[in-house]
Amino acid sequence: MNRIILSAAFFAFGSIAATAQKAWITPDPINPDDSITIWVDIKKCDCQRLVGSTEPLYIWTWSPKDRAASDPTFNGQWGNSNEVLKMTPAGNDVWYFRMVPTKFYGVTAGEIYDKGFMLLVKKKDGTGAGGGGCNEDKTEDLTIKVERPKTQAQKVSSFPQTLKMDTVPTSSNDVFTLVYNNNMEEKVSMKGVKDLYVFVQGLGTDGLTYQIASILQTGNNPQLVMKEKSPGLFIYQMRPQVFFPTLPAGVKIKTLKCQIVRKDIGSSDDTVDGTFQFHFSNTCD
Amino acid sequence: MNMKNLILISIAVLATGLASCKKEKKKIGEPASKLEGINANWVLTRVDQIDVTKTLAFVESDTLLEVTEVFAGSNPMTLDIKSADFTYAITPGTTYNLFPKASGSWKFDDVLYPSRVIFDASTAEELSMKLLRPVRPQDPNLVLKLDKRCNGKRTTSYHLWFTRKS
Repeated sequence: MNRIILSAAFFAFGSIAATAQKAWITPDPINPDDSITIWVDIKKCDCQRLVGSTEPLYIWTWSPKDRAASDPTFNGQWGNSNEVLKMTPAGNDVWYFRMVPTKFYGVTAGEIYDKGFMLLVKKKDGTGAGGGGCNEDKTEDLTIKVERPKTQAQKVSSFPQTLKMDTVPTSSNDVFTLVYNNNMEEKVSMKGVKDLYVFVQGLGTDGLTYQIASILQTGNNPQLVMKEKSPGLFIYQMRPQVFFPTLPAGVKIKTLKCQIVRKDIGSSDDTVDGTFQFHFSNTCD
Repeated sequence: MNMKNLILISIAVLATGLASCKKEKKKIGEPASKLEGINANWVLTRVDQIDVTKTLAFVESDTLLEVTEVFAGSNPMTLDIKSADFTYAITPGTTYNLFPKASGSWKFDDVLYPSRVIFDASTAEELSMKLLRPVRPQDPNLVLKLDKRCNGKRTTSYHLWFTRKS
């Protein structure tokens, strides 16, 4: 029955995506603490040795976290996959695997959003003809990005809010505001802290990265301090295009990477988990 | 004084009191001149940004955020508007200047009941901004809404609050 339900879900939710993608997840967006399904369409992959396979296939995944041999979801050996990673055929060379991401990988939801999934599909013994690449019984490496849900309040967000793929509707010339709601913080060491700064990196259209200070020096720069707009709600405002003094004329900032840190960083306990990226629509100034 | 006289006197006093409560009719007079009201040197004192992607907002703060410090900078823009010859001049200072020109012409969409101020009308640099509040001679602020568009689609808006300098 589960298989029928999953197959129905596949056709209901994934049929459009399946026409264009090798691998995808349902639901979209996901809740990393709840059950999700990873789908792979073998026919869409570049490596075709698994097309029409009647043997069991296995998921082999190393991101957001590669698990140790002691972990129940350890990938196993290349010649002998862990049996718990066996996938289920949905027909027409589409295979799926169900998991609760935070439990499966042993990571936080933030890491799932930041890193996404990297995986491949293989036979129990992936050796095939040997020699690596598509001569082995596997697909090529597959990447699935994980979108943060937009409908619920987020701990870290932007104003204006992001549209699809972390893109804000404005240009890098417009005012951009990073918003951090400390009231939603789950990390014990960061709950209730006030001395917050933003480590900002700007990726230019010239491919170079620009920054005001290194992450360790961020707390020594008053222009990087966040302001508490209301109890527990911190904001940081800037115009990315004029923010970086070393940005050459004619180069635009296309992406901002932000990390929220305390004034004195002693360890990862002094940072908000995750790096937050924002892309700008620079079609118009 | 008998009871009958007392009642009559009381009624007379009451009627006089009621008559004195009648409101005097006031003349409304001519509406305040918006041309006179906008004729001033204005300085930018507040800027709010609007998130146009939020279509289901229940409170104003969900779509509006003050961005004065970053937008205006330490030396805010001044806008000198003259009604006599319908000219304007801008001194941008450190402000994010979205006016295409430093000076030029301006007009209201309607002189008596304006809802928009149009700078450099019918030119390639035309900039039309909604007037968010009346701008009569006694009003301290000129509040304009500037829509930023890309390929015809609004990307964000700014509410520009100018305060009368002179």
